[in-house]
Amino acid sequence: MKVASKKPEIRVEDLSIVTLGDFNPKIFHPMWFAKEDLLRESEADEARIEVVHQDVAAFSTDWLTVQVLRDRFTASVKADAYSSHLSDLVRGTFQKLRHTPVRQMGMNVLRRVRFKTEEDWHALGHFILPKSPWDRVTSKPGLRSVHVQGQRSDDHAGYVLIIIEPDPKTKSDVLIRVNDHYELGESDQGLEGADGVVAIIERGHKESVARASATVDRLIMNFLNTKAPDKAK
Amino acid sequence: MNLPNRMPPQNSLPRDDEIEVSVFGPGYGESLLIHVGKGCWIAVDSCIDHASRRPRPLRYLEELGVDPNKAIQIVVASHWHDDHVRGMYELFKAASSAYFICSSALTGVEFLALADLYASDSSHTMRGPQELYRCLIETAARGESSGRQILRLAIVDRLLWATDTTINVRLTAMSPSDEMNRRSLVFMAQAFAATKRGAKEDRLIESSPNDVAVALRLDVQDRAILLGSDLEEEGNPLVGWSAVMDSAAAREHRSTTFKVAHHGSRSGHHDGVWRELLEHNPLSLLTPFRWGRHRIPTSDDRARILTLTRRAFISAHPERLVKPKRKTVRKAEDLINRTARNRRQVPGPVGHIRWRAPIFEPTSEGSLDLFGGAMALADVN
Amino acid sequence: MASGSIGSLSLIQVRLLEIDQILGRFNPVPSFEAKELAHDCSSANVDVGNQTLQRNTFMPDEPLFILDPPHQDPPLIAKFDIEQEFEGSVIAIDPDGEMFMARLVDVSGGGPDEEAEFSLREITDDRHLVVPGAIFSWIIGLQWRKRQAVRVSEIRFRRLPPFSREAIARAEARAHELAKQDAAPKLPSAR
Repeated sequence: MKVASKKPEIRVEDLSIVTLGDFNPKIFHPMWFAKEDLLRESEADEARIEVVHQDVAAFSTDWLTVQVLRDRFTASVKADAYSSHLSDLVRGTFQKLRHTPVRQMGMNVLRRVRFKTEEDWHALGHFILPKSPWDRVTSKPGLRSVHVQGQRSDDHAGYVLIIIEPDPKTKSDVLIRVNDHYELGESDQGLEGADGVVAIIERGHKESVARASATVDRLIMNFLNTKAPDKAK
Repeated sequence: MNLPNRMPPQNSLPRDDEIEVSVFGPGYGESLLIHVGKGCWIAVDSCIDHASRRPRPLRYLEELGVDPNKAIQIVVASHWHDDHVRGMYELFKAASSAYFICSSALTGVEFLALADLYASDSSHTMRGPQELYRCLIETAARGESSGRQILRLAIVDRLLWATDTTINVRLTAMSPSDEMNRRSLVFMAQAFAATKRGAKEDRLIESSPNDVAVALRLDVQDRAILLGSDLEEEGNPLVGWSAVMDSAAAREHRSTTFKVAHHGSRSGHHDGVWRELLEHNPLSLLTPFRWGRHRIPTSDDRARILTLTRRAFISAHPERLVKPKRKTVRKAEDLINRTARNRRQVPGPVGHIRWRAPIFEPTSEGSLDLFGGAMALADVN
Repeated sequence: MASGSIGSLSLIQVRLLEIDQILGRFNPVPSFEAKELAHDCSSANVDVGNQTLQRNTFMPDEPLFILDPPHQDPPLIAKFDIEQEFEGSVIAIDPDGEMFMARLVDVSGGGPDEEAEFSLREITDDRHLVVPGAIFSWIIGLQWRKRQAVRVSEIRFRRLPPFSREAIARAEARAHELAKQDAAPKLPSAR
């Protein structure tokens, strides 16, 4: 007998590219993106601007969210359909700002796994976090968040981080985030700074998204093939 | 021409002493498979059979029960244009014993660098350079592991392959000429320089005339077959068919079978080829080309070819368009059809012209079979 | 699985924003508490005090003390269920006829390539990008905005930057390696 009665639905929740470095948020106005032909003019005109300030810039368009702090740049979309346009925008941004100091980057995929029953939702928790080690340690142990770090399968410095969190409001959904993390400047491939961001996106954003999706699929498949959950007594 | 009343099955093997020339073409795409006797095959170019999504020549060999691993001796990339190289890498990978032939200009640093860039590109365009690039990497890997020389570069008058067994086979390059090579290298260098400058329009455009086209003559015992690739003519004696006419190979014997150059187009035509390189009334085989508003061969092209030979056959109708199959739910399909006009499928089902003849009876016309949408050129209306 | 809130951790370093200029726009952590974020990766929603901050950012490996990023509205398009996706490349343009012709690769279905004609009037902002060889995505499907789904057909031209210097340098190096292959033919014999 398998652990879950039905295969859950897995869908895109969010795709983002995040870089850590030294930024000047006030230049990241939507009109700058339009002027550099990274965004449509009409999108820049109609963008919902939260703030553009020397410490923080934040705006969104129909399909994209951009947020820049002094040490972090984030661009994200909620639909797979815009994945290639997200990568074009970030790649183009850092190609134009190639002297920006950037130390790390992450290409991130967030998937929402929706189970048909609450029992199946709990069963995933038991699968990820077996309950017998918690016997007599605490009562009713429950999974809130699990971070698992894995090695990269390529030569880049960095790692892959998988974060699993239930969505307690729904009692059916689990959010699984895969962070494809790169350290820039430390690998023998010499990918440094903004040039490194551009090179990594150019070479592998599409593959990174595909790998992340495959990771989530594999994890769920492993779960579905499990015979019996390890529940608390 | 001996067209049998009862069509032999498409998956019947040629005899060991039988030559076969098979031409595949779905309307956009061209590929040839040639049996030179005793289970040995040569593949020239590749196109995809969309029903199976596999290279058509490979599918054909599988249908015949032939192992491409051992059977294919040579794979030729006659140039890098998309319609001639789809599935080329999969074909060459399966032909693990084969040599690989292409124009020497395609092994220059600039083309290879551009092809490397396109290979890492996430878009689906520029597949031609990507396919060739992967084949060239494969030739390097095979050469290193076997200690053999896998890559053969085509240049006019070069003997590319020969056998010394009971059936004499020789494969000779008729092009490219030195000047064609020079022009190709200049073109690639300019394209790569533009890329390095960060030019927005940095995509390699399929150029015309085609300076990297590899035209070949294949001699099997006493038969000769001229394979015209997409070689064109511009009236310059140093390039195109004019340069071929001036070559040493052209002064050897004439061919009785012709894979018509550049889909029968006017730009691929040279009177001298028909007058001096081909026997009278040669068996002429061609594939159509559909791209945008272009439909080649045009009615003028067809009329011209039919004045030069009565034995002309084409793998598919050049103008018959195939309506795309429905892909999704009706409401989405309706929206697709409201957004895009004159929607048509580019490659249709793959037509197949197959000619077979006894190798040791050079005067025998052999027999010809037409499969799929293949037809006599005279029947195209 | 249990739910709950994450309490703030010990204060070590605080980075100040000019809150008086931006308080009206978004909700910062009210008491300027910072969080030690060593080896932490953020969750999708973080409860701090009586606020829920949405975060969709990646956190660094090293300890980094930072205020939670401001809450921000997500893009209007919350979901796009793709029913058919093509990648197109422009073959020809007829400015007088206000149309362009494109070759289409069936990305979602893997079917045979197609060709079709499109009105240039469909392409307003991207008009200057419509040149031979230009690439675009054409996606048909259900687009969700504010819990409403509308079937749309969206053409969006790629704003592909030129190849980077690193990619060009790498390609050139690999090309030199590959070009070293000795290709002068000896006369091979059939096996």
